[in-house]
Amino acid sequence: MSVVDFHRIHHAYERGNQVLRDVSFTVERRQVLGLLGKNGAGKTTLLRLAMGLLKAQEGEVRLLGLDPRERPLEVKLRVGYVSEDQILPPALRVRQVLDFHRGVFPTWDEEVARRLGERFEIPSEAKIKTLSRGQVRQVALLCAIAHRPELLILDEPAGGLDPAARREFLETSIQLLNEAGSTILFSSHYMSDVERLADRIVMLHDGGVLVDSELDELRESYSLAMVPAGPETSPERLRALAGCTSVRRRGDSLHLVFELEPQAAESLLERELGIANSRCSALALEEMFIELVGGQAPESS
Amino acid sequence: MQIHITSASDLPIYRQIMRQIVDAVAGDRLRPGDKLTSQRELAEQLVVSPLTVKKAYDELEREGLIQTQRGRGTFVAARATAVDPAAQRQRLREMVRRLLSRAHLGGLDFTSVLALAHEVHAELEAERAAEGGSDNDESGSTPRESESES
Amino acid sequence: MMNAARADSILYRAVSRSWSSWLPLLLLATGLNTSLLFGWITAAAARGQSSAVPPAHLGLLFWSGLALYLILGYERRRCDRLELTLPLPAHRLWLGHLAAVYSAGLAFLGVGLGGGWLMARVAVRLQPSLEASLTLRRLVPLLLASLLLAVALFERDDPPQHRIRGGFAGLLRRLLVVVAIGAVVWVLSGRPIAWSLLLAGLAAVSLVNTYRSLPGSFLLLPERPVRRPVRGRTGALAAPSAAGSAPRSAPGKLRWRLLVRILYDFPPWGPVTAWVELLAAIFIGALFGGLFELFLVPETEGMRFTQLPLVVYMLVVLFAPLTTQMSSLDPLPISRRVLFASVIVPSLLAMVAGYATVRLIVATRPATPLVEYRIEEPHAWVGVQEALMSATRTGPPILESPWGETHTAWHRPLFKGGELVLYSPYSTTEETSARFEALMLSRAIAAGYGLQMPWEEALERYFEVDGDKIVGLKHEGVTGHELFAGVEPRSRGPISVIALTMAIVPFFLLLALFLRTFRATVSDRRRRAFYWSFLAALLIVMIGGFTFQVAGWFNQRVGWAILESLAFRWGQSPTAMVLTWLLCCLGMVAAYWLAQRAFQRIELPATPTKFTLVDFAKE
Repeated sequence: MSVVDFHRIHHAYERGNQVLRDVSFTVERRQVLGLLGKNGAGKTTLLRLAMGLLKAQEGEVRLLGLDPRERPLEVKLRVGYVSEDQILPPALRVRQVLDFHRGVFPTWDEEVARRLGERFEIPSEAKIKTLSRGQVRQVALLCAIAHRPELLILDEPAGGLDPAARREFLETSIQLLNEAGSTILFSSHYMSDVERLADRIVMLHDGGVLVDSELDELRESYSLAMVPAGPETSPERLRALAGCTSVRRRGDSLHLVFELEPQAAESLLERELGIANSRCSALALEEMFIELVGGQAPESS
Repeated sequence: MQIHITSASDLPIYRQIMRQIVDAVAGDRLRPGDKLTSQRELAEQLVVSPLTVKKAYDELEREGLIQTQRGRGTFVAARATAVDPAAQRQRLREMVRRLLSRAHLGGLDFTSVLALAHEVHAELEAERAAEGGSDNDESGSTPRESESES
Repeated sequence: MMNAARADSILYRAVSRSWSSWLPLLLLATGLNTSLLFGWITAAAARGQSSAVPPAHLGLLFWSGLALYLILGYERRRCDRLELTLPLPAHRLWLGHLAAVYSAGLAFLGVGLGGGWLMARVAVRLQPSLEASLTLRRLVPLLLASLLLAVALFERDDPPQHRIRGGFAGLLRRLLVVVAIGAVVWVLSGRPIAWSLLLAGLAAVSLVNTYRSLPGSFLLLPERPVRRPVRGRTGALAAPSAAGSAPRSAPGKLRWRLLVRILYDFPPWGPVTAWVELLAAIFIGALFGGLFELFLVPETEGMRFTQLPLVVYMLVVLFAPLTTQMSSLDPLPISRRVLFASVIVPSLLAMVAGYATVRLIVATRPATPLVEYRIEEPHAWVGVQEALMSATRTGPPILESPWGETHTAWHRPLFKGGELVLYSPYSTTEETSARFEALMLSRAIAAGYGLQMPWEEALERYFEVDGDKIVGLKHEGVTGHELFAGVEPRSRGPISVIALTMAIVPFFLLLALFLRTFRATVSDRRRRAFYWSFLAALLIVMIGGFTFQVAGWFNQRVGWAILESLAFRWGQSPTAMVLTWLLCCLGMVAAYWLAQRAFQRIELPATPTKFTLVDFAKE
């Protein structure tokens, strides 16, 4: 049984503003799935659907085999959730926030809470509003983790945090993975974090799933080729090449992304277009993101 | 065991881990029978997903470079064989490519580069003879070149 | 475990829904309630005839205080975003929410009734006959039930959502509910308690109904796409970029329009409300212009002046929230002068518009008689409006007739025991002879209407005389314009503009003072503390004014009357009239300039201070 199962999800906020179109994927036990996509690609919507904060207009969502709208309490008891826009009550003290969560979650593990609290060095008598953003996020993470959830849903958990705070955040998540064997579903714009944490990537674009792949496989199966622009290399012709997923113009050269290894792409270019001096290379995740979803103006707008 | 990974690299993280362990074995920093850091610890040290570390270890084990003994840990295999020759060749190819383009920039033609290679080879041979015998030429040159690259 | 969680949840709710954000609203509600009630009572007392306040009026009065809470202060969130993500059943969250909104309503009601009770005590001292009609106790069950019904009706809105609808539609809905229940309150005030029980019963049925239709957990957003016309936010937000690309086409005009849109259409606490605040400014201006007296008690014109502190209060309240927008507007290349104007001018104009409208309506109505003569046992008198009276600093003068008859003029001291008094030069007493009364009347008519009528003629014309005493009137009562059809009373003078200046100049001066708290060295907490104490002080001034008046220490009505009499005198000379207008305008401009200068010097805090009436920005 998958921990998370999205099945043919459609969702729109306003007419003509379709956020998700026929999105399906699953997250397996102990997997760490990174959800990528540009702003507005529907990542947050998807995670809110998973939490049952929204109801899917079409399609089915299952968490731990349960419908989060039908059985909200059972689902929420077993899930931890941190999001960028989640607001902890500013007037409360850290201790009160923890007390509150302790009262709500029967599986609350005081030992975990104490250890994390010490690690984060958050003064328990401080009011939430006096803490820095990173500290507030850490309190939220602590609350989400200390009841030992089977699934952790993180929506832009590191948004707005400085590199040191982000690293701390990652370290905590990895400890959790090691200790509790939880499953994590998270979205992020920090590709370096994604690379460190995720096993699998789902990239949303234009309402649908553009990429759904193991991260390492993805990294090794794509390459970027740069060819000079000219009459021989019209974008249409390049796009027609087998394995070519995107063509972007950059100054007087064209950037092509192939779903091929670099040598295969080089030889393909030589064979099909007679370009001998093309330069093909593997792509870092950040470049891959930009090449895949960055430059293309969405057709719909 | 010193491993450094970076996400700006165009190699996936599990490959970076594999490569550095291979380099360490080849460079004698890890010797057969040495115990490797546990997967859990390494994941926390490097701040990468435990599954990624597991994948790197699994790959290395498949290649016969390391061995896991239940309940005791992971160790460098007694007879650490070289990695896949095709992959090795590919990596060297990259290096040679960079070497040649740098030589070109520096005004060296191909023959003088070859001469240089012979020179360095002779030096290495001499060093190795002084240390007392060698068994693997090819992998012996790898860590030095990669060091000079970085 | 469950019990502990519940207790925590309610505690947490009470703390997190910060009550402090309701404080200004509470103050405002109290201020409005007490001032309206006091207006009623003084008016009733001044007329001296109506000795009973109809219960329907009282009911509506307190309902209006509650309406303010229900429309502006009502907590629309059934639970907040954090609770939404936690394993808490919607039913429990909703009960907590109900408890919170109802208890907040009770607090408002309590404060309103408390202020009302105080005012009622004052009124009974002024007019003991009011005692019977001012028992507020009988209203309490009705108001409690109405509050419950309003809450129940509000909560019927889309139960699966984590909050009830906002925006224009939501506001309209809340307005409708509040007005409808207001009508019910009007009808049921003073009826037996059974009616209140019926209302409460209805509310209970509705609440149970809603409870049953709650989902397992609340939704963050509506399930179905909102069908909103395409026009609106995105269009307006796109406008700045269009303005940027347009090659310098009338930048001034565009900038103004945009600024006003940004300030009023997109305040951080939600659209619509800013426009509602402008309506409030119009209302308060109208109140100051004499709206209340226009419809209820035309005889007591001067009562409107007592609203002055409230006007200043409202202007500050309308100004402060807009400063939250400054941090986003200030980095733009817009001069601080333009910014200041765009923040100040709309609400100020709205207030002046309300004020001017009512003053104009008053001007087109048949003017209040300046002079009248009535016989009401035990004695008769010449009554003149305050405008015809005079002030002196040497104690009450002696009025003397050519034939040597004298009496001390009717007078009121400004301060208790002080020598500065307002007196009527035309007053009479029980002992006054008929011809002296006629003399006084003829003088008053000359002063008020510019008509010369010898006292002998007046005596002949109006009075039935027995010896030296007046025993009756030849007409029902003597008032200036009934008797001289077509004769207009003399101009009251520039009192309207003087009163307006007296509200606006202090506002700007206080604003200049308030703006000094916008310094990097002043913490947000101190700034807010200053703001609240500032507003509270204004209300204290207003309520204190009433209290002093009742206690007799300081009579603000006398102060205003002195001003009216001066304005009347200036009004008789065109030069003085023009000069007064000029001075008033100059004063307002100078005060504006001072406030503007203070504004130009402010240092904006990194995070804007929330001065909003209600903390709409919480979401």
